[in-house]
Amino acid sequence: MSNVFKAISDPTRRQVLALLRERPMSAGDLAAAFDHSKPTMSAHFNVLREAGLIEASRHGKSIIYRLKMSVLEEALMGLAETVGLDLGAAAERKGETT
Amino acid sequence: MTNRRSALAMAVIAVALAEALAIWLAFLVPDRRGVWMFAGLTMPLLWSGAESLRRDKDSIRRSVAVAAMLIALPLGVFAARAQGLVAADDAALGVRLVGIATGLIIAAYGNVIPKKLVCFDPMAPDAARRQALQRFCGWLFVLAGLANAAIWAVAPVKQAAFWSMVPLAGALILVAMRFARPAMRKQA
Repeated sequence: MSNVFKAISDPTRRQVLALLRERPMSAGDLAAAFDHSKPTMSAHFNVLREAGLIEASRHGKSIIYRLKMSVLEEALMGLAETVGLDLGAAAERKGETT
Repeated sequence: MTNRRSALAMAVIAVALAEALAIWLAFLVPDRRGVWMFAGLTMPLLWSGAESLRRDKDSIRRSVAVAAMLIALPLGVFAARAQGLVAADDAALGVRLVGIATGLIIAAYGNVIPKKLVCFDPMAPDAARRQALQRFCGWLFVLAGLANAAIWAVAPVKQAAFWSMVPLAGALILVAMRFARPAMRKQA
């Protein structure tokens, strides 16, 4: 379970999961949606795969990732997103008052 | 290997608990000894039969553990009542506990639907639709299972037997409608 918490704590990895929630995608398509380098994205994919949140399968030359999240894991991700947003809003409010 | 051991350990503990309760009840309430012995013997017989028929022993053992716990719950309540630990007039407690446990089991199975039932080709043209359908089924059965358990927890038992079925029936109807939607669209 700690692997899952680690995986969903990062905003980039949460965005990857959000993209995969729509449909299975190739590693190239996923990497193209972010500004990060390919090795960085590959590291993110590995963390998600080790946590059991995504599954990879090879189709020809490309690797296809698809979501493999339970309802509880998805709810946890939603919670992490909400907490992240709240923290961001709190930080903004703090910036306005100072 | 660890998962295999834990599945076997869970099944052995749950069946042993159900057996122990059935044997204890056979001594506590001797006039219904036949019922307790039947309840006690059913689990190991079914388990050994299922193990000999299926290759996937882990899933059988996990299911046996869940079934044995469901049998052990009312047996435990009955034993507690026979010992005077629970008020003798609270005959519905066992039914209520089994109802709550069943709701929670449905929610637990719904939880793993999107994770375990990944059985489609990710390159298929309808992969997105299938994935969405699995997620929809998972969320629906988790919510229906939790609603079922909540109704058994708070409603009077006679009414809970009917009302607890409403969320489950609703979930089944919604899933059937979602399955049928592509075919209905094609016809239209």
